[in-house]
Order: sequence, then C-alpha cells, then structure tokens
Amino acid sequence: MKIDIANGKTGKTLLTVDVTKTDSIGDIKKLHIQQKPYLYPTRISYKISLKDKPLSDDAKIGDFEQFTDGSVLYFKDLGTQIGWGTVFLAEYIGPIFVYLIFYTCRSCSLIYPGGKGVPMSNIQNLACAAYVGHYVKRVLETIFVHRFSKATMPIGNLFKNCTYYWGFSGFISYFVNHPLYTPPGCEAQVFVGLSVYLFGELGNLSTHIAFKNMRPAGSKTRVIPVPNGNPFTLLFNLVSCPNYTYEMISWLGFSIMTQTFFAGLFAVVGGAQMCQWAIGKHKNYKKEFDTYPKNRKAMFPFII
Amino acid sequence: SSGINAEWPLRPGYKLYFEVTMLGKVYLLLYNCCLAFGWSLVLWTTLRDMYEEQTTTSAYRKCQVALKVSQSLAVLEIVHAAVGLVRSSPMTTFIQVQSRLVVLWLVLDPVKEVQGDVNVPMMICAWSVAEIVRYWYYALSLIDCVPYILTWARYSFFTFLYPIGVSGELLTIYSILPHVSVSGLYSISLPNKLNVSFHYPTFLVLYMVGYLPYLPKLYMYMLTQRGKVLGKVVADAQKKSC
Repeated sequence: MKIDIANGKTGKTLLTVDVTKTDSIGDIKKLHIQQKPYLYPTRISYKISLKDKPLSDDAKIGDFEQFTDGSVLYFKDLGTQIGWGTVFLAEYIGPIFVYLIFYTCRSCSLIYPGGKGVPMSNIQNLACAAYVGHYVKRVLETIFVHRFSKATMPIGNLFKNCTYYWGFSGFISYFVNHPLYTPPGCEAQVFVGLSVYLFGELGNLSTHIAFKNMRPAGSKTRVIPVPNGNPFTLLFNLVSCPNYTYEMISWLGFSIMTQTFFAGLFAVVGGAQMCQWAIGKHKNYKKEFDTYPKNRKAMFPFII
Repeated sequence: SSGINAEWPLRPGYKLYFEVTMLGKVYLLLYNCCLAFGWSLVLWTTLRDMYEEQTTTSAYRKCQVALKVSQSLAVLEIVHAAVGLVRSSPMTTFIQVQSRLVVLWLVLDPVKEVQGDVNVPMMICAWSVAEIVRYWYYALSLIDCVPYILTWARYSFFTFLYPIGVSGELLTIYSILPHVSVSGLYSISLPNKLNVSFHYPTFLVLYMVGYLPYLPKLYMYMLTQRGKVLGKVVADAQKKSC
C-alpha cells in the first residue's frame, strides 16, 4: 500500500512510500532517508495524528488497523541529535576540569590576587576529592552502568546542560578554593557533612546499578523497580527515583561539609529539577503499570 | 469576548483551572478599576508636581506612595495567572512584574541621590500611561464594552511607550552604579561564614546586558499582535456594516 508522509506543520505531502504490513517504521525511515540524505533515524518523528506520541521504530504497519492505501504519517524533523552518552560525558568531564582550575591556581593572581603563599586547608583538599570524585563516578557510570531508553536528544540540550554544570562548578569551586575561605566552626560539622555525602554517593551508585540490572543489555525494557539485596535499594519501597533522592542527599552533605552558599544553591536547584523529572517518570510508571505500588512517591518519601 | 484576558505568550492548550465565575469577574473588575485609578493618581501627581515646581527633583518623592502601592499590587497578577483566573502564562507575568519591582524597590528607592534625575519621571510617566490603558482595557473587556479607541491605544501606544520606558529603566539602573559602588549597597565581600560574595554593581551591569535580547523580541511580538488584533477589529466592523 502507498503511505503519504506529510509535513506535520503544513500538512503538505513530502513523499509517498510503498510498504507492506510487515514493514516497520524503521524501514519507512530508511526509505525517507534515501530521498533526504541529510536525515537520520533518530532525527525523524512520525505520528499518526498530531495529538499522539511519535511511533517507535520497531512498530510494524500491520500493528495499526487504520493503515490503508493513502494513509498519512505526519513527519517532524527533530533537529540535529546528539547521543545521551555523549552529552553525559561532556556534562560530567567539564566540571572536573573547571573545579581543578580553581583548586590548583591558588597563586594565580588573575583568579586569586593575593592568594600566593596562603596554604590550602584540609577541608579544601577534602572538598576537592569529594567534588572530583563525584564526577569521576558519573563518568564511569555513563560508560559502564547506564542503559539509555532513548538514544539521542536535541543538540540544544548539550549547551544548556553544560552551561548549568560547568557554570555551577565554577561558582562552587571559586568560593571553596578561595584564599579567604572560612571552614565550618566545628569539626563535627565537617564529619557529618562528609558522612552524609558518602551515604548519598553509595545510595546513588546502588540505585544506578539496580536500574542496570532491571534492563537487559541492548534492550529498552521497562519494569516496576523493586529493592534487590543491597540495603540502599530499600528506598525503592518509598520512591520511584531514589537515585535523585540520594543525589540531593550527596549535595546537601557536601554543602554542610563546606558551608558554602553556592554549594547549597546547587543542591536546591538540582533538587528542584530532579523533582520535576521524578514526577514525570513516576507518572509514566503509574500509567504503564496497573499494579504500581500506591504509596510510592516520586522523589521525596511520603511527600512528593 | 468571554472576559478572558489574552496575554503573551499563550501556550497551546493552556487550560483555565477555574471557571470564570461571577465572583471571579467581579473581583477582576474591582482589581482592574483600582489599579487603573492608582496609576492615574501616580501620573497626575507626577505631572502636577513637575508643572508646579518646574523641576523633576521632587516628582518621585510626591508620587512614590501611589507608585509603590500600584506597582506592588501587580504581584497579584502572577497569582491570577497561576490559578487560572486569567489566561496568561504565569512565567511571563512573573518576568514582567519582577523587572518593574527590581527597578522600583532595588534600584530607584534605595538610592536617594538619583531620584530627582529627569529619567525618573520620564520612566514613571511611561509606566503610568501604559498601565492606565492596560487596566481600563481589561476592566471594560470583562463587561464586553471596549471602545475601539481603547483597543487602538492598547495596541499602539507601546510603539513609543516601550522605548521610553525601557530607556528610563536602563538609565536609572546605570545612574545608580557609581553610588552603589561607593556605598556597598547589597554587596557582600569575603571572608564570611557562607563563603559567598556578591558585587551589586557587577550584577546590575549583567542585568542590563540580560535585558537586551528581550527588547527586540518583545517589540516584534507586540507589533504582530497589533496587526492581528486591530486587523480583526476592522474586519469585524466591516462585516457588521455590510
């Protein structure tokens, strides 16, 4: 049968393809790309009607009863795409370099005039290890742990996200590594902050590994998350996205440890963004699974 | 018109979470009338003082109470948008209201030395005229009784009020820079317990630079709105007469 591919905005037919019921959306994309070589599959979105979600590449023509000769698929060019893994690496390697610049340039008069000769305090060394350690962990997770359900995102996100991560890194690092840095009043606070930070890091890592094991390699399976043997994963009983909960705990710990305004601000802003994401994922889980546990919240146990 | 105020930018599919009930309409009518009156008072006081004193030095002092009350009440418009009483984007309303509040409360009010400069009443008059027209337009829209001249004014005055107002705001911010550099207003320096520093003059410069991309965008948007709204009014009037 012949299917028209039309521009989603104008309704104008762009091309017509000849397909059978066993052909998939991915096959149609290949035909489309033959005509328009600048496109690639992750950049193409097809919808049956503009109110629906885009069709997945694996779906077959035969799956949709309404498809006959002359049916229309609405096309949208999603713009230049970039892989999630690529974006994560850029986002997470940047902060390591940015933080280290301020950490190592104590004597650089351009950054810290009058800083030469002022020794680094123990807390500043500890904070550096913690901050850089966090992002090294993220890079390693991106390479070895994460399994992405969507392959790409629009390239605009790369610049937006990097500005956020690299920018905050600059602000946090500048103040923590300043020659006039004031450590917290009592050592106990540093100890508490560090412990909370480590707790958050371990919890976050445990959750990421648990997610990895819920999804077989190369697949895009989605399941109801449940705790495994690791006690940190017990938080799944209370929230859908314990990784975000632990992440916020980490940054709160880091803020307590360093008593620095911008670290606290980063924890709050990051927490708010993650909460938005968590609410979205939580809604998707509930829509997808009838048996989804009712008392689970998105990110903050018992609250939201 | 169903008494719903159209503002920029309208998200497709934006839902009204409240039905605009009789109570809601009465409240909005009262709100819009009060603010139209408040801004008229601001304008009158400012112009009268400048006429009587033949100078700009005392205008802000005279009108500041009416100005502060009227401009600060505009915060309610963010709430109206957020609860769906009015069809506006809460984010846009927030951006517009906060920019006025920053200039009024954080720039003009704390720095007495600049309050007599000529850009101050210029800015206040531009704000006042724009707000008077806007609030009367909203009030009369609620009772479906907007004279063409008011619609025309609402969608045409901005062409000169907007540049005048923005120039006034930027000049006012610029004028306080030397004063706050010396006085250290709102600035914090190291060392301190929270390990933070803030240099208000630098922030203001960045704020002014941040303004710039929005100016042509907003102006162009208002121009296209003008074409749509005034074009439609003329077309409707022609249909009736035929």
